[in-house]
Amino acid sequence: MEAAWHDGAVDDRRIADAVLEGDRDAFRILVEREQVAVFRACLRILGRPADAEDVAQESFVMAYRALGSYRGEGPLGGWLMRIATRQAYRRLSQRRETLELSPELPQASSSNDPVHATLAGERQDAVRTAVAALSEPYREVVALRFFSELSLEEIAGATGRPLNTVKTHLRRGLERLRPLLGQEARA
Amino acid sequence: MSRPPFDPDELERHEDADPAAEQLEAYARSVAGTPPADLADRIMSAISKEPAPRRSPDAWLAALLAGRAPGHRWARTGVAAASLVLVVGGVLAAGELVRVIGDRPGVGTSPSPAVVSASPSPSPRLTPSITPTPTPAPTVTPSEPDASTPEPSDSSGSTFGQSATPIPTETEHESDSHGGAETPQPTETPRASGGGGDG
Repeated sequence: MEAAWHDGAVDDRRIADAVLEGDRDAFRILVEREQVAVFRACLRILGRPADAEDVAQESFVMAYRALGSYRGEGPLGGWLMRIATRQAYRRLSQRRETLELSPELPQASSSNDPVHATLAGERQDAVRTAVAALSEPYREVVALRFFSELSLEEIAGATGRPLNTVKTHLRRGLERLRPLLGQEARA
Repeated sequence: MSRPPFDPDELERHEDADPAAEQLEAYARSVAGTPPADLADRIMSAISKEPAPRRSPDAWLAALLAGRAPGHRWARTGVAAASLVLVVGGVLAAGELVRVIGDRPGVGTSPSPAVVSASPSPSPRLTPSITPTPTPAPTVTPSEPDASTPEPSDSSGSTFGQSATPIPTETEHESDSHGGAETPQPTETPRASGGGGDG
């Protein structure tokens, strides 16, 4: 795996086996190794650090509960990242419902920023919204590739899909993103 | 972060950079915060309240086959022995099933030729053998088979012996009903059997 940065699949299996045999502290190795990547992926999806913290913590707890279903067929980091991505999009949909119920809720990020930061924030919102608007499985593959920074091989391992299928999903996801990002004329 | 940026060659597209991918890359670079220092402690604190996870059956089997489950040597031997027993048992059961099916009467033989060959021609010999003795009664007169004139029926039924089984009727009026009801009528076999007489 050339582009893999979550390396050490053998160690992943050892960590999982140790936790399943009752060594709860072995899970800390995984937490400390993956917390930055998980937090960033959640932050890129949700846009709010507080939400990203919550979802990252939830994701680790969910991964711990479901560790018995990890079959060791791919890196544990990719498996964990898939859980985090799903959780983040679930939180995003819940947040949208809340915002629809109370549309006067103020946006916390851009209230006291200068104009430049506001424009940058709007561009970031546009990217987040565009990716969130993709249908599955394109959204998941795009988010895992660009927000969670997994390689295509790692995505294939985490999702259980063939590598060529992952490539197709990513290519189609990017094609569908162009009009959503206002790039129809350029593409 | 050591991950290399997105390359269109990943998708086997040897062309200019994808504008959507470029925008996503730029976005990911701009949103690269770090988690609070106590995040790991909070996660582990939450995990300490969770029950210990258990290996699911399929994951256990996968770990077993990969030699990672505890006691995997004994367990692998047990799985191999159980598989062998299942295979042998399946073979024996299949053989027994074939034998039982083969022993069933009529299975594997075609019934129609046997019936045709058993009835080459209308035989009056059947008449006495299948004529029951009616219960004698003072008022009932059993009909005599010889008195009735058997007429070959037009039916081409192949199972003449069974279908022509007479039912003894207690006829109070002997004049009308003694012929057809009690006396079996020898059936005329179809042409298939009659063809033997041509030769």
